[in-house]
Amino acid sequence: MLVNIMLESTKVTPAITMLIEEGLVEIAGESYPENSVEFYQPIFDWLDAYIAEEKRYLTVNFKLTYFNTSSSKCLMDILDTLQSYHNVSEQVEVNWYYQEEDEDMLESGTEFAEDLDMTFKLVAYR
Amino acid sequence: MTFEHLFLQYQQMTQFKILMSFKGVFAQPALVEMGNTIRNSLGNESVKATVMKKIFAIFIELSQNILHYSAEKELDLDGRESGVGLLIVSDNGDRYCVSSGNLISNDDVERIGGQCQAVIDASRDDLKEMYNRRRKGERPAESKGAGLGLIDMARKSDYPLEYEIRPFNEKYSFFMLSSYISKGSE
Repeated sequence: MLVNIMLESTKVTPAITMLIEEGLVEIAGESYPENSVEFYQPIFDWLDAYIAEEKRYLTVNFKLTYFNTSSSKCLMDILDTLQSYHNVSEQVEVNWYYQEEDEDMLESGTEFAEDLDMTFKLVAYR
Repeated sequence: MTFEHLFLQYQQMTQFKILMSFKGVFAQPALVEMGNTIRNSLGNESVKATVMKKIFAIFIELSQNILHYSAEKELDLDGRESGVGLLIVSDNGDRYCVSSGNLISNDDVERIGGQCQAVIDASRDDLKEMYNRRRKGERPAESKGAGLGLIDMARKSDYPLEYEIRPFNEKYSFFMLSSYISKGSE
């Protein structure tokens, strides 16, 4: 059964919030675990279940400040899943937050956006 | 350890302006601590934020390379296997250098050398294209990050990556990989 997920951030993993009623997913912090696939697996599973069972609008907020390359691959996999959901439902909104002067995270967001065809907003914050 | 050995180490670390060096088991908790040390020590030295971020990112990729792919492994008490290697961060005048050294299997020499050379030969645009295409694709069996680490390091470096592989014994070779970040890096 689908349940809300609320994980606090650690030094190497982001905070994860996945709320069913609100249709909200948030991934915030830094991501460089030893095994990214293992860390992100529950997130893939939650998304698959939400898409299959809830079929409702989903807002996904990324607020990352650093991620390693194996996390980057997992983020792409998440975005691919969201893209597939968007293609059949048009019910996905992705917001990519980056600190105002963080060129790295702006560029990362821009490059993810280039690979996608759905609402993907780049949002600067202070 | 004799006085001479210790003093020689002291002289070499001074001569090569070594900011940090570690030889041993690259278990995840240890490399996280080293990463923090780099952030804190460079943060105190008025290093530009963009430069520090690049050094940190390259340090993490190189350390996790050692952790996952060094042919020399050590088991901890919980039975977890981590790779053994050497990592050095040094100040080379107008640039910082992050270098790693570890054993690789002789069977992997051609593959790893080929991957390094392909990344060195690629233009900035090629690297971006390679990175985004690999990230979209399936993970290769031998890789945890779809082989993205090397490409990402090349993109973050301000100078071409440098590598060298020399025979160690009948089973292993020693693999060195270096990345340079300009002190004025944007």
